[in-house]
Amino acid sequence: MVHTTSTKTEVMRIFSTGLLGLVAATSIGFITPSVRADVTSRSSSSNSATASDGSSVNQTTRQTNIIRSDGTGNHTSTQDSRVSGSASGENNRIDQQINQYSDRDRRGDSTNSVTRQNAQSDAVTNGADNRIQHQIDQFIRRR
Amino acid sequence: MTTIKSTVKAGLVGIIAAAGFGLLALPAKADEINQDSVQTTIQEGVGNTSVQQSTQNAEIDKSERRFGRRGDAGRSSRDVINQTSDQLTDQFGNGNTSVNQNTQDARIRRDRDVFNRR
Repeated sequence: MVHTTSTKTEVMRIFSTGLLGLVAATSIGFITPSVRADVTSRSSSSNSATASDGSSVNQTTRQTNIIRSDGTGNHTSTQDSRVSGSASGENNRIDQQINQYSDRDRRGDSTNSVTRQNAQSDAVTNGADNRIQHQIDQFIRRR
Repeated sequence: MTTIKSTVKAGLVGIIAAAGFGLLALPAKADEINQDSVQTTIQEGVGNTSVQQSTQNAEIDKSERRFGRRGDAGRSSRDVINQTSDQLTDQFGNGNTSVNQNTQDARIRRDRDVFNRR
């Protein structure tokens, strides 16, 4: 009987010490993350052109987002680019080029990252011997 | 003196308990990459040419150190790469030429140190 009482006391003591330790760990910052600094990088571009008879249209968009972080916050990188061109008549040339590059180098942990690249290229010709060339290059690197 | 010892002991026991529950494991660090490309050509007439080229390259390269319990989804990172390319050529007439080219590369590479508890 005496032995049972002693065991109960010991269990209660271990339980209370555990709770105390959890509170201590929380206050030190092990469980609750410290202040975080979020990073957002956004690029947007829109380009349109019209040509006629023997014209040449070059439309180029280049977007570069680079994030260097210590890894204590969330990262968001968005790149939007739209190019549209039209030509009527003969011997027109439309060149459309979109280049999107995103690079993030982080140190540390506790980071969520979302990267989005949207590129849209439209061209319309009405006539003879016209040439349209689209080129879209998208590159994302996460380290 | 006994009280101080007891308090220190309590702290150690608590921290060990927290580690045991996985609370000290690193939180999730997930990467999500979305690449969308749309190319549209509309040509009406004779002897027209359309060339569409699209290249998408996504790369996730990371080192992950995880010490939580196995199966704890909240502490594992989930990386996602979504790549979409739409190429449309609409030509009406005679002697027209269309060339479409699409290249998509995606890579996720991890170096992990995982110490899971059974």
